[in-house]
Amino acid sequence: MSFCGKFDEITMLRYIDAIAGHGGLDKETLAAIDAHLLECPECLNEAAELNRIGAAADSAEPVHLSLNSPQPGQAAVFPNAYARFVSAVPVRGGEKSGGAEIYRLDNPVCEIRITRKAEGSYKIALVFGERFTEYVELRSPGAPAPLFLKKPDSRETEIRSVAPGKYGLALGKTILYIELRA
Amino acid sequence: MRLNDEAVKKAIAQYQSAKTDDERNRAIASFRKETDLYIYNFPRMSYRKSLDFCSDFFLYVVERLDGILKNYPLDANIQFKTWFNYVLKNQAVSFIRYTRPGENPVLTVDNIEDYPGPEIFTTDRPDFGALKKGLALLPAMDRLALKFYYLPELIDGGDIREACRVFGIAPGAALSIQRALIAANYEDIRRLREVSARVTELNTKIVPLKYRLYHEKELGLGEKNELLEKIARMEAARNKEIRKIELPDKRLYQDFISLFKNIRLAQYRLDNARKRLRFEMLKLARAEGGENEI
Repeated sequence: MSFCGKFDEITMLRYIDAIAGHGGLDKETLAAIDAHLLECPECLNEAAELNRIGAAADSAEPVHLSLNSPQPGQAAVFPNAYARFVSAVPVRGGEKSGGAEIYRLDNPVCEIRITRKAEGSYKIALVFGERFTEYVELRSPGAPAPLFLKKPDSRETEIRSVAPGKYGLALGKTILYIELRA
Repeated sequence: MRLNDEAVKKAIAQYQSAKTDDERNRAIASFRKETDLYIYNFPRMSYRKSLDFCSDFFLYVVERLDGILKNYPLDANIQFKTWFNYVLKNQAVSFIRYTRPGENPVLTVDNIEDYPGPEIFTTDRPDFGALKKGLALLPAMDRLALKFYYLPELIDGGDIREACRVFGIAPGAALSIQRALIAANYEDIRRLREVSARVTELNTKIVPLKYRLYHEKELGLGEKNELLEKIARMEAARNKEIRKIELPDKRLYQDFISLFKNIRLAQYRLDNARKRLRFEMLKLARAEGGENEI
């Protein structure tokens, strides 16, 4: 679904802006688009959909706590590291110790130890500051099922034989995106 | 959910004029600081998708930010949010195609998942499917009155065209009323949540007082009187709050009235539409052999 092309995308988006009360289009263009919308179901459907999305997005409130962090959106890039993190919560560390790379999170308090195996796969060990009672989940983007989903029995849990690639790692409500290098 | 238009456009301008990777990375970091939460919540806000979907979609979009930022027309004088909604909607279509190859998805109001069926009239069996069937059987005027008042988020292009014909208004005006009603609906939901929270709070205060009154045998007459007065005051406050739940939201009503010539006609049309819908749904239930009364 898209606009038919009689009016270019930018003009149509300015029309949506005008409906939302952000002016910008002259009366003649507004009237011409109104007349066109009555004739063109393609443009009317798209305009109605964008108008609805805009109104819902204006009124809705964000829910995800981890992304509601006061220090959002940081990509933690450590040179020559096994892993690259993209997360809303700050990821610190990146130092190597006994073959493992160690990263730290504050919320939840957790140490992530990433070890590279000889065959090229990774082991991700999670050591929480206290007993963690929520689910830990590792999932490839778009995969129908997670690679790992478990409530840790104790403060520690391990995810073994993780192939290089991109993953979403959820520690309860906190979500980290990890890219494990090949 | 707000987006800081000025800050986002500044970050995009920095990105588009960046000459080194370092400058580009800094611009992307500033852009993401403003938009991460919005991107993450987009599928939930627009199609009520699950948090799992939101997480995967977020990662999908973050990987494509370079292309998105390159294409923003800085000189076009449009709100970034309007353009971004258009882009994210198209990204959502690509994402569904990517996760479910072979499908050719079109995202419309029909893709809204888990829409809470509104209580147009009290029923023991809230069934949104039956409600949709009932609405389809109504004359255009009644269906539109109910959709605009109770379900503005489910109004599609076809409804807008019909509204233009039935109410004699331009598409822009119909879309504008729909927008106002969606906002009023969300506000009404928030208002009801707040009132419910206050009622719950008052209940939790009343219960221990009543327990003391009926179970503590050592209480003197004076203390009992004092407790009774306190309980009566709190119950009066609670009843006042409950009455607020039953009242229609003023702003919702004001925006709805603009579809009609006057408030009386709006009230008449809405009542009439409710009655007809109830009648159609009873007919449907009977035709399906359902013994349960609506």
